Parts: sequence; C-alpha cells; structure tokens
Amino acid sequence: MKLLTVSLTLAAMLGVDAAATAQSEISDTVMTTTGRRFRGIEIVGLTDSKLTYKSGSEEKDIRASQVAEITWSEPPQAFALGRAAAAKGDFATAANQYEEAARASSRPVFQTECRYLAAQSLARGGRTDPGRAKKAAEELAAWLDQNADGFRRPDALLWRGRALVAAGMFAEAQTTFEQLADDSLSRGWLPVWNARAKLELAAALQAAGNFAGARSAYRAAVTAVRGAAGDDPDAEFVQLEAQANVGVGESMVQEGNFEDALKYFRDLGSRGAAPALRAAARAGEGEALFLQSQKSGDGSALRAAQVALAEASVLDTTNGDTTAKALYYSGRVLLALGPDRESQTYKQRAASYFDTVVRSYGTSVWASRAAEELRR
Amino acid sequence: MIRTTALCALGGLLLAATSPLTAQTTPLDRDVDFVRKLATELRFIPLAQQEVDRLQTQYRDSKDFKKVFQLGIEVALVGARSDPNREQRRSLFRESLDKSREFIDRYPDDPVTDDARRTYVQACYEFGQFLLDELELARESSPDKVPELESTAAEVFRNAVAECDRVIAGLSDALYDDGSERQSKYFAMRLYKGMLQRETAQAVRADRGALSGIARDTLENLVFDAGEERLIGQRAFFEMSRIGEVLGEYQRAFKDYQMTIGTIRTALDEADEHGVPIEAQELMFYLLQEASDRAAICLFQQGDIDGTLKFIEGFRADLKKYGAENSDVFEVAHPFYGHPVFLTEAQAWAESGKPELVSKALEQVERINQEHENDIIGLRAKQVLEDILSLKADAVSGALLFEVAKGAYQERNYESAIQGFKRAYAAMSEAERDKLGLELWGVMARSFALEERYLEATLAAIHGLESHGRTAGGDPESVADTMYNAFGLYRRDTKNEDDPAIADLTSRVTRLAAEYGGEESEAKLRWREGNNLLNDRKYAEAASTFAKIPKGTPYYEPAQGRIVVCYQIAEQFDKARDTIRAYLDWTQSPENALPGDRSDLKQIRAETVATMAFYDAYLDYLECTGQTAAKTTDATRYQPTIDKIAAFLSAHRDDGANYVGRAYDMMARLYAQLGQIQKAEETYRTLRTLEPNSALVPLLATQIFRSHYDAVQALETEYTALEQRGVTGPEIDGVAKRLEAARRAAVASGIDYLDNASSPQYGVLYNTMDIAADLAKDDDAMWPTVERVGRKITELFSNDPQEGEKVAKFVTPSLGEALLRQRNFRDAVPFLQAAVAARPNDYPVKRLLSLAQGGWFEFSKRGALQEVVGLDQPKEAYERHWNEYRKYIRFLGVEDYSIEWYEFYWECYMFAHRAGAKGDSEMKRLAETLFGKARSIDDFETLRKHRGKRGVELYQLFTAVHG
Repeated sequence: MKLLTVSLTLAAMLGVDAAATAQSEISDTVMTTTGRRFRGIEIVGLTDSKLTYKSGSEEKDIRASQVAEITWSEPPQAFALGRAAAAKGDFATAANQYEEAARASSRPVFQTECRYLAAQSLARGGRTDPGRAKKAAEELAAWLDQNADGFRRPDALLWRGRALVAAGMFAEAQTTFEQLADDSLSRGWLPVWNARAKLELAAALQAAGNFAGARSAYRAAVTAVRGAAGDDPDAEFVQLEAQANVGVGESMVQEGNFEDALKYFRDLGSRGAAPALRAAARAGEGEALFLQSQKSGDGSALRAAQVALAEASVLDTTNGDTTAKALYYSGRVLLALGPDRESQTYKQRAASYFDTVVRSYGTSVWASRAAEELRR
Repeated sequence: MIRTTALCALGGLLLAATSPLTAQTTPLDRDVDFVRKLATELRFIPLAQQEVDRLQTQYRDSKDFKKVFQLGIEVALVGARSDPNREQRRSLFRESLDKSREFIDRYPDDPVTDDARRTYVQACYEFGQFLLDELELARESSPDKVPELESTAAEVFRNAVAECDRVIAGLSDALYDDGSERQSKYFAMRLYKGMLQRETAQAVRADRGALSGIARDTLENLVFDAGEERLIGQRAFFEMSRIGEVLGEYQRAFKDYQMTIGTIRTALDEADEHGVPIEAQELMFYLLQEASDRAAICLFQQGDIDGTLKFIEGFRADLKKYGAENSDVFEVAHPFYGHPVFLTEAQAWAESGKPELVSKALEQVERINQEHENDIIGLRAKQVLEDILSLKADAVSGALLFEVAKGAYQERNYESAIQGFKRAYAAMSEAERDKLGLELWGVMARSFALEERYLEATLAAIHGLESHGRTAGGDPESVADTMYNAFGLYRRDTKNEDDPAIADLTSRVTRLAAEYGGEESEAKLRWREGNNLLNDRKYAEAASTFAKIPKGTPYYEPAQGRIVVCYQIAEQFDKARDTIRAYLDWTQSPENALPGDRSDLKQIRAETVATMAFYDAYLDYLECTGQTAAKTTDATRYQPTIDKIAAFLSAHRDDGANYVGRAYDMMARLYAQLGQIQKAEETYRTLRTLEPNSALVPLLATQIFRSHYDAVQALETEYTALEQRGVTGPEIDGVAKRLEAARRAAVASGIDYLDNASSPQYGVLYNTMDIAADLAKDDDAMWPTVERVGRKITELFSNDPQEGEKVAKFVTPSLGEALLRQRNFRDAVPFLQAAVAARPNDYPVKRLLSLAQGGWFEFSKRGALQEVVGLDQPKEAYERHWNEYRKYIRFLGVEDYSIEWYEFYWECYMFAHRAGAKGDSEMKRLAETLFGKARSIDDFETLRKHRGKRGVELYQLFTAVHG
C-alpha cells in the first residue's frame, strides 16, 4: 500500500546526534521521606546534615534527615553482590564485596558509603561471634574517625555500639550509645536517634547483666520514644515503644526470673491496647515459656509457648522485630517438641520458619540466629 | 523497569508479512489461513490448537506435513504470547524456539522453512525480552547470575540475527520490488535484525556502545531503503530512537521520539487527503502511543517531573484528537501502548511530593492494575504501587493496601501477602474494618494455611470471627470452614496431643464453628468426618465416608477429589482412575450443568476438575517412575506423562494452584530422566520462582545437579576412552568441548543449589567444587568459584562429626589451591598447612605449599619474565621440595630427563635461585648445581626439542632466569 509522503527529515534527526546536549554520565536517584524522588542527579557531598547534588550546572542541597534512600548510578557489580549477600545473611561476603566496590569506584562519596556498609556488614555478621564483633567495632571506629561529619555517622555509632555489646565490651558500648544520644541532640538529627540510643543503651545494660539498670533504662526509653513520636507515631515509633516495653520483660527472662517475666508480659498484653504491643507481649510470653522450658527440662509449657508465639506473629501489624522473634522461636519450639510430639515434618517446618526469618526479616537480630539454626 | 513488549503492531507487521500466498489454490492453504486468523486476529488459541492437531493428523503422511507443522509452531507462539502467566509464557516461548530450531535444522532448504525462520526470529525476540527482564531483576537481587543471563540473552539474540541474515540473503532481490509481499517480508526481517542487535546491546553492558552502533547502522539503512514515509520506515525510525535509551542518553532519545511523534501527527492530519487506509491510520495511532510511552519514560528518568506531566498532557490531547474526542482517554488509549503512559504519569504525580497528587496517582495505578490483572502492565503497576506505598503508606487507605496484599496472595507470595494484610488492617478505618475486616482475616488465614502454618491460620480465622463475625461484610461460614480445616491439620501435626493450651484453643474453635459454621448438614458432617479419617490415615474408611456425601450439595464434588486422593495413597490406582473418569463424565452430562448465577459452585467444580486432571497425571507419574509397590519404571511413559502435566498446567493452573508446584517438580524430574537437562533446569527455575520456599525446591535442585553430574561423568568416561585409544582430531575435540560445557552447566547448577538450599548437602557442594577445580585447570576465572564453594563447605561442615574429616582431607587442599592460584598466599598457606597436617603423605599439596611460600617465575602474555614472590620464603620451599617432594617423585618412578623430572628440577632451581638472590650463598651454589644438572651434557637439547611445548617453556624459563 502506498502511504503518504511526509516531510520527515531524517537528516534533521541525524543532525540531532551532533547537537544533542552532552549529558552527565552519573545519574543517581534520591528518594526523600515525603516520597519525592530526585532523578538524574549527581551526588557530590554527603554529611550528617545535608546531601549535596548537581543537576545540570546547579548545585543544591537536601537535608540529610529528609533522605530516605539513595540509588547510585551504575555502581560496580560488587555493590549489588554485596547487597545480595547481605540479604541472604552472608555478611562476611557482603563486607568483602562492599570493600571491592569501594576499590572499583572512583567516586569519593560512593567509596565512603561502601566502606560504611562493609563495616556495618561485619557488625551484622558478628552478632553471635565476639571476635568478629570486636573487629567490626574497630572498623566502625576507624570509619567514624575518618568521617566525623559523615552522613552515616548515626548509623555507624549505632552499629558500633551493637558490635561492642556483642564483643562483651559493655562499658565502651554504653559510651557509644550515650554519644549517639548526645549527637542526635547537638547535631540536630531526627529525634528517633535519641530514642534508638536509649533503647540500645538499655539492651547493653541487659547484656552486661545489669538487669535492674536495664529495666530502668527501658522505661526511660519508653518515655524517650513517646516524646519523640508525638501524637501520631509512625510504625517505627510504635515498634520501638513495643521493643522497650518488651525489653523490661526480657531482662527478667534473662535474669532467670521467668515467673515475674510471664506475669509482666501477661499484664502488658492485657493493658496494652495497641495491637503491636499486644503482639510483642505475646512474643515475650512465648519466649519466656520456651526458655523456661529449656532451662528446667520440663516441656509441659511448650504448647502454650507455641500458641503465644503464633498469636504474636498473627497480630504484629508492624511486621518487624516481634514477628521475626515469634517466627524464630516457633521454629525452636518445633525442634524442642521433637518427633514424639510433632508429626514427622517437624524439622522441615522448623527450617521453614528459620528460612522465613532470614529471607523476610533479614535486618533483624533474629536473622543471624535463624541462619545459625539453619546451619545447624 | 519491566519492558512492555510490542505485541500487536510488531507481531502484526511480521505475521502480516507471513500471510499466505494470495493465490490460495489448495484446501490446505485455506485451512492454514483460517487457523492463522483464529489465533492472531480472534485470539481463539485453544480452538486454533485443536484445528492444528486435526490438520496434523490429517496430513501426517503427506508432503504438506511441514506446512502444518510450521503452522503449529506459529499458533504455539501466539498462544505463548497470550498466556497470562509469566512463567508459563517463558516456557512456551522456549518451546516455540526449540521447535522452530528443530524444524529449521531438519528442513533447511524447504520453502516452508523461511516461515519457520521468521517464527524463530520472533520467538527469539520475545524470549529475549523475558531474559532482559530477568537480567534487570538479577542485577538487583541475584547479581551472581548476571553473567550467565547476559550470555544466554546475547546468544539468543545472536542466533536470531544469524537467521535474519539467512532470510534477508534469500530475499535481497526484493529490495526494489515495491509493494510486493516479498519486499514486505524482506524489510520486516531487516527491522527485526536491527531490533535484535539493539537488544543485544541492552543485554551486554560491557559492549553496549559498539553493539548500539551496529544496530543503528542497520536501522538507518532500513529507513533510507524503505523510505521514511512508509510505516515500516517510521517503525525503523522509532526502533532506532530506542537506542538512545539503551545507552542511557535520555535527552537524545526524547528528542528522537518527539520527531517520530511529530511525523505521525502530520501523517494522521493529512491521512484523508492522501487516502491512507484506516488500518494504516490505526497502526500509526498505536505507534504514536508507543513512542509517547518511551518519550515520557525518558523525561521521567531524567528527573523532569514537570516536563513529564506537561508532555503527557499533550498525549491526552492526541488521544482525544486522533482517537475519540468525547470519551474517557483511558478507554481510548491502547491497553498495551497507551496505558503505560498513564503509569508514568502516576509515578510522576507520586514523586512530585504533593499529597493531593499522590492520592490521584494511587487511584490511577489501581485502575490500571484492575485492567491488567494478569499481564506485564499489571505487574509494572503493582511495582509502582509498592513503590508509592513503601514510603507513603500513611497516604493510602487500608482498603487499597488490602488490594495490594491480595495481589501478592494471587502471585502466591504468601509471606509478603501476610505482611501486607497486617499492614492493611492496621491502616483501615472502622468503616473499612466493618466492610472488609472479616474477608481480610479469612484470606490471611488461607495464606497461613498455604504456608502450612496451620496454628497461625486457625488464630487468624478466630481473630476475624471474634472481631468481625457479625459485621456487614464477608462470609463468616467460609472463614469458619477455613478455621475448622486449619485446626484439624494443626491437630494432625500435634498428634492430637492433650494439652491445656490446645484445649483452650479447641473450645474457641468449637464455639466459633457452632456460631458461624452454618447448618451442620449431613454433607458437611460427612465431609469433616472424611477429612479426619484421611488425616488419621484411614483411607478406605475415608473414601467410603466421602462416597456417602449426597449429590447436589457443595461437598459432593470436592469429596470426589478426596476419594481419588484416598485411592492414590492406598495405591488403588484403578479405583482412582475409575473415580476420575466417572466424575468427569458426570460433569459433562446436561443434567449436571450448573446454574449460571452460581459462581461459587462453578468455582468448586473448576477446582475439582483441576484436582482430577492433576491426579490423572500424578498416577501416571508414580507408575512410570517406579514409585508404587511394583517398583518398575517405564521410560516410554515419561514424555506422555510430561504432556499430561503440561496440559494440566495449561488448563488448570489457576484452579489447581495447590498442585502447580508438584506438577513442575514432577515435570522437571521426568525431563531429567529423559536426559533433557536444560528443560529440567528451566522447569526447576519456574518452580523456584513460583514457590521459592517450597520444600520441593532444594530436593529438586539436588536432582538437577545429579543429572548434570551424571552427564559430566559419562562424558569424562567417553573422553578417557578416546584418549586411551590414542584418538586425536575432531572426534576427541568434540567430546572435550561437550565435556567443558557439561562441567560449566554442572557448576552453575551447583552454585544455584548453594544459593538456594537452606541446608545444603556436603556431596553436592563437594562435587561442585571438584568440577570447578577441573575447569580451573584451563580457566583461571574458575578459581574464585572453587574458593567460594570450598569456603562454604568449610563453614558448614568442618565441625560436622560425619563430614568434618573429609573437609580436612579433601576440601582444604582445593581451597588452599584456589587461594594460591588467585595469588592470595597469606590466606592460602594456613589451608595448605592444615591439609598437610591432615594428610602428611599428600605430596601434591606439599608442592602447592612450597609454591605459596617460595613463589615462582612465569611469562606474561607479552612474553616478559615475571617473578611471583609468594610469601617470599624460598629457602623453606626449597627444603621441603628437595627433602620431601623428591621422595614422591622417586616413588612415582619418574625417569631422569622426562618432562616430570625437568618440572621438579625447575621448581627446585627457582626456589634455590630466589633464596640465593636474597644473599644466601649456599642456596646460590645449590642453584648453580641444579641448573647444571638440568642443562646436563646436551645443553637442554632434550628439554627444548623432545619434551613438547612445555619442554620449550621450561627451557625458556631456565635460561631467562639464569641469564
């Protein structure tokens, strides 16, 4: 069929080749906490107060507290490999890959980010290994020294503190968390950092065996979280408050004071109107029943633990730590019930729980424990 | 970003070019044309396939069989394109590709084969699109798979380009044959060639620039030859514009697209004046929308939100002007070419940061999601929705979050669905909870049950009924049934244990079942009783109880399915098959037709029919694989059973969703038995994508690996036999090539297993490492893989009471060598030392330890002598080599002045030389002695002339180092 002739100028189109404006090769994307995305930009500066970027010839800033996510422009493959390894719980590989990514890039801002992620991966992987945790704390300290105003400073302090706790260096951990709390106020970081610092401080005291101190600190953390959250708390504040409340009970569990812990959790669950708190209380109750059973050798409370943990998993609307913990202990309960009390697929069902924690709750502390169970 | 494949217009362009001869002289030609139209225009795929089957039977023994066979491939390709399920689509494309390839290879010079080539090219293009989508996903989630995917995609595209060239060569005389069908086919092939070259550039990032240039040349030449005024020329123009996107040059690409759009607008404005047929105008209108989609994406990718929104306003105006002025533009826009523009618009609104635009964005995306429930655009819409929700959850209603979570449920991503349901419930207002709360908890309960978490399922249903049993929305009876069934399965798992916690739960379930469970009809009671008996493994009694359920009740048909299950487990296959046949015949009789308004009964019937279809295949599978008491296998039944399973998946995957995983598992195992490892692996990947947490996945992965391993073993045996017979040349080279390919495939399978198995087996990992080490002898790039697997084995099994010893003896040496070969001497030495400690007589490992400590010399690719320092402990290395390794040489009976002898002396010499160079005069003297011994009385003549290529290399090393 004969079509019309139009004045399409192919030559003109080819001419566009030469005339096309030269574009920057770097095309980062930044997503802010309001959901706004800045695409096609080049990040040239990252501090704990602001992110500086170039768009065309202009240079602009975004407040660091508004940055939710950074997508780097065509990072080295090692970066994606590192992220994938971390998602699978293989933190040693993740750390190596992030280091490799830093070496493979010529962008200082990206290198700094990679080095932080490498150190953080070591910390995440070292949560059950004091030797590795100590190394991680050292790496994070080195990063903090080199990046006094770094964008990741609050995260680095948080993870350094956690690594120090895992390494059994409790005094240094407390100092680090106190510094995190102080910096959050003096440097104008988001209030949630102060709340997180308080919570971690309480956890550090608990890990150090100072249970009474830990309980006071958890109660202080609840106050801090409520103060930071305001009238309309988002999911993270709800979760932090639940964690702090649960922390009081967990310190009793760790102290071996199971009866008090159970009473506390049952009371918390009944008076806690928020579903997240109710769920957290049930998870705490389930954990207490399980650990009590492990200690005494008496398995009579395992079913009650199983039901409490399942209910926690069903009710936890924050889909966070509570669910991860409930799933982890659900797996452990199945293994404890064993072939005498469970059908023959109990091991497979337990593995499925652990696997879910690793795959779907990889950033929680329970992921490394679940990974450990899977290896076992 | 998920690619939107250009389905209709492009396919139409090519298939229009393959439309039959204008002179349809035979009945077969008319039939072929009719069937083609059934598939391509009316989309009556099953009917078209039936017609193909009929024609294939009719013409089986005739010379026209090829024509019918080729038609079958075309229809299969159209069917593949239309299948709503992505994984199924990929399998069907792959099948079309394989069948086309088979046809082309079998009948290379037949006139019909050109059609087969065109179909093959199309199948390659579309299959390649899947691979590119997988590649994009892999870059984020599984980057270690990227090299393999890149290579596979590139190979698919390159093969297609080669076929394009063959067709183009055959039609080249049609270049100036204006208006002829041959010219249309010729230009269509050149267009495809350019597109395939462009997609190759997309796949292979490292060569993107060069490959894009080649694609541009191809398409530019086509535009020149075809003429920019013709549709094919405009199409080529547009496809060339897309190269800018491939290169990330969004500004340039946008300008090019704008030119295309401008051209089309002008063409449409002047269409009446120039007598352009309506069909051509329609295709131009589609192309305008397609170009607008790409243009909007380019602006969006540059971060120009305002520009994007302004551009899309212009697009809306185009739809009104060239489509229908007074209609909703959404209805006017083409579903595949136009709707994606609205998705980009929604993304731009969402990213504007303005709350009022975010709500608008969500509504628009939701509308697109509903329009495109099962296709690629729907998938993209869901991704956009998740993107918006990930940060702006507080801007979204609970009802909308519930819809998103239901999407995850439909995709069988149950953990994600559960998280979504909980989030949705938390976000719901009181009014939303009243309306949707019960439904939400019900589907959450089903999600838990499908994950075999029956206790959680029970609790979710309890919570739903206790909170919302009396509210307006939802079906309490259905939720009560879910609760009751889940609790029964939980009790089965607990071995019906008596426990206060369970007693408490039992009373809640009983109370709620009584309150909401509907009438306790006889049928319902028998249904429950039958299930309890089934759970208690009382199969005969269960079957008998189910058989008593009266017809006309909602439980009758599912009960027939349960009867089949009972007979299958009890290995009464004849009775099972009789039940299946009787039921299916019963459904066909008119008196058993279902009323039109009873969608619930229709669903039950559909699910039961699916169950029957699955079990029909399953019974065959169990019999032919020897999984019955008879334990006899029958390989002749493997392929027919695969066909039956495929038929189940094709017809019943939605209604038989519970069986889909098992179906793929069975299919993969049968392919593996048939030696069709690639198909087995692809089926395994499909299963893994659909049900990543299924217990079937790691077991199947093991099986797949074993198939690979067996293939490697067989080829190694064949190669060794040829070697021993002294065979040289193409015969042994061919086997060597196949062996290498088989080894690589086995390693890839083993790595996949390692990445996905929650409790990897030692055997699989060890064999993977071992095969990788074999490959590494000729390909240094494999050493990192050897290291990776070796480290994993060490991490998992070094403290294992059963396998720990093996790790020390057999894995540690390989790991040490892998580190050594990667020049990581510091890490290598501890492993090699440990290996020596575990097996003190392992002299080859001692040699490796010496190399790690003492270093060596080698020539670079440019022939320059290089010194590898190792740990710079050459004296220690020499002493071990001379005092210990020499015993091994003697033990092996190495003859003086053989190549092995020279190797030994060379290594001793280089250690001694390096030690001497550090100032040790004794070592220097020893080095001279060793050199002299090697040079002997013939000045290395034996070495350089009679010890082959390696002899020459050693001679060069000796002389270069000595000076």
